[in-house]
Amino acid sequence: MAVVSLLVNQSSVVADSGRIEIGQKDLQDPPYRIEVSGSYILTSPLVVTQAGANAIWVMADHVELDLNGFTIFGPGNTSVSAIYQSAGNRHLKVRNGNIENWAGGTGAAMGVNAAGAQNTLEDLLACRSARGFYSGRDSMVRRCIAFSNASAVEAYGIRVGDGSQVQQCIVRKSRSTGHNSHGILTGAGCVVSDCVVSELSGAAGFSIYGINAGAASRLIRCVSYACSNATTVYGLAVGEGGSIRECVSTYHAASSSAQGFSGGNFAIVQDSLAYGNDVGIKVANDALIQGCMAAEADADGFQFTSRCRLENNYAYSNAWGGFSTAGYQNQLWENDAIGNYIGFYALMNHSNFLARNTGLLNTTTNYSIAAGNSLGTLRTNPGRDFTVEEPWANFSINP
Amino acid sequence: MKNRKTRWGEGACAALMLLLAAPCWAANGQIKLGQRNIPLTITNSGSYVLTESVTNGSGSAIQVAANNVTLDLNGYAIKGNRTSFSSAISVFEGWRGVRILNGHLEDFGRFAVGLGDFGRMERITISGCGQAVGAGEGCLILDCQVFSNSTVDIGNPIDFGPGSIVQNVLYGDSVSKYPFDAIVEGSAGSLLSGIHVAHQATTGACWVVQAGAGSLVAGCTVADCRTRAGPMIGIQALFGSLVVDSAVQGIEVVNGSAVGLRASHGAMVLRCRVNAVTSSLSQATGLYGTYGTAVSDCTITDVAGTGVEFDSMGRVVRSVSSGHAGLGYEVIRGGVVLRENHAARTSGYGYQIRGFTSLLLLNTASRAGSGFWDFVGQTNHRAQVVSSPGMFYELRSNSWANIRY
Repeated sequence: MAVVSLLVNQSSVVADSGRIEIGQKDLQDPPYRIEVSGSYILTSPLVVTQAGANAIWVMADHVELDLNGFTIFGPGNTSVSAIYQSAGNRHLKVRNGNIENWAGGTGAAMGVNAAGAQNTLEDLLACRSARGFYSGRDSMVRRCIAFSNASAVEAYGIRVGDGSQVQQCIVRKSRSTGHNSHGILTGAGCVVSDCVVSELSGAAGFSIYGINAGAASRLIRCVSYACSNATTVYGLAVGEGGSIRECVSTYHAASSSAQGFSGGNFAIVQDSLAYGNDVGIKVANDALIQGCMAAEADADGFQFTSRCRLENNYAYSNAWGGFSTAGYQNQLWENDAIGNYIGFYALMNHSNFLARNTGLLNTTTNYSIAAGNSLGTLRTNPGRDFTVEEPWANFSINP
Repeated sequence: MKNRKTRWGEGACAALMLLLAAPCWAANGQIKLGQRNIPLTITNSGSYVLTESVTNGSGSAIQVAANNVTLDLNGYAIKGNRTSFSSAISVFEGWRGVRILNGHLEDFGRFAVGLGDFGRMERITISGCGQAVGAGEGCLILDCQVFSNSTVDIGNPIDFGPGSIVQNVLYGDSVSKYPFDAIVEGSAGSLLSGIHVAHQATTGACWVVQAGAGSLVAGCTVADCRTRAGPMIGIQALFGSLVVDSAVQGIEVVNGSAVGLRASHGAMVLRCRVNAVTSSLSQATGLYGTYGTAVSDCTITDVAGTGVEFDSMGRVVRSVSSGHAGLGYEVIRGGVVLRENHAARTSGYGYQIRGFTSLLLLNTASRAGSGFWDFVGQTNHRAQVVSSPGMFYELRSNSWANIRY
């Protein structure tokens, strides 16, 4: 035990289980430094009152830190982060506890700042801090809650580096007062599943992202709800080549534009629902939108740039276009637009292709398609028992 | 929404009984709790662990008046005696971040858990209680089982606030003496996943699973639920909700209407199954869409009434409606697109389209008792119906035909 105590730079006790105990008594001159791989466990709440001090600084690989249900309290506005991992370390596992009041104004202020890689954060809660959790590349974050956090710099509840996974996490009622706010922010190639982000707020001139996933990331069964008070809001966003499946993004509001879903080039959005935003689902180039619904947007239901394919989607009661593009070479196949201001809208002469779609009871017109696009035969109010030979026909139904 | 948090007044007496017996500390710093500590009011943040099963007669066994409390039941049980006002664990209003895990709660007449805001409940089994759990906003409820409860008139059995996740929860074999809003009621912007409700009997109106606006219901099941006085709805998705890969199997209403799955304004239903919905008053509907809803790739079978009923302004695609005592598909007010659906073995019409400006394309129907189609509305649009086209048929001149066979 004596040898271990020396190595961990504190006079710690080794429990019967072999785990090294950390208590308030070990925190007289914070941070508590972990310089040796091993298993550590809190035996009391930790309270840090010193400005600019971490509670625990992990400087070794392969460290498991069990908070044992306890809370690490910070000094508030003068704090940095409760748990800090040096960027060169990896395989840190932090679990089972709470972090509160790490609300410093610098970019280093947050609950857990695991700047290394290949870490696991699980069963944690962070609140009243600047930001919640950060872990570097190839990490796993699961069953964590971040709420009521606020930062003057870029804010996030949970942030992970490239190749990470985030599962079963909640971020709620967090904000940045002078920068962008993210509920969950990921690097490239990440998977975010079964997560809920709600009621984030931001600042004028900045953006809120419910979930902002990097290139080639996947969002599965996630919910983004009611984020507001920023210039722009993106409910669920993926970068280039990302995908979104079975997600819901609703009731976002912004002074400029609130998008339910946002996809970069080559994005895939499937089986998802946007409701009550400014724009329901918006993608860039070469994207696929399939089996989705966009309803009650203040502007367009579906908005896409160029070379996208939209198949089997439904736009309902959007205040401008059900399906709208200013781009070119898009393909719209078997979509339904009902009760929008305009059903299908392609104003420019840009070689878009529309087949087997239905526009029904849209307020001004079912199709506003400029010459130069390709629109399959348009059958308007065909009546009962109609026959149409053309398999590429589109239908237009008016009162 | 009721009883999400315990009111101060309700626990005031117990709060005055603070720490009747001082708990002791485990080797790892956790505070050990045993029978001699019960009833208990926790007033300090910390980590608490049960070291034995405990019982409590009336009031709350454990009350929490602190933030960030972890209560590990350590595999043990907290048991009551079913008295009317008893509860196992209650978090006072205004406190949050309580985590309860790994144990059993039995025989509390009022409720098992009042969780507060941003609470977590994991791997808990609840049986013989009134309300199972009332949770506040931003809660995480995972891997729990609730059985054999007898719900009293204080709230929905499982009730949670906005922005929550409830996943892998089993609720079954329970009865209710009083009507309530829902068995599982989620507030707005929540994720309900892997929730299974089975063998529930109640006496009044009941929504078995209700998802608040902007929620996601994924992989949930409602099975064998009944009431003596309806209406009863298996799964109800409110405004802007998505229901995917879920099933309703067996809704029975003795006196009143029954609906398997109800989608409110702007909701979407994907890959769901509804089967065996019955009402003694012949007021049964398999899947009901209010207005602006979308249904695709669903199967609705054996309903003692209409399979799929739409009010107005929606779409139904690639679904099967079969074996009903009434209609296969019914549109009430119009503005609905029906495409590539199938109706079969219905006592009533395969498709009954009332109202105006609906459009039917590429649908099929077979063995409909009253006839294959009934267009009550005169301004609806329907591709020609081709009857029994037979072997190797070709419809080159009628690419959008509906087919009966």
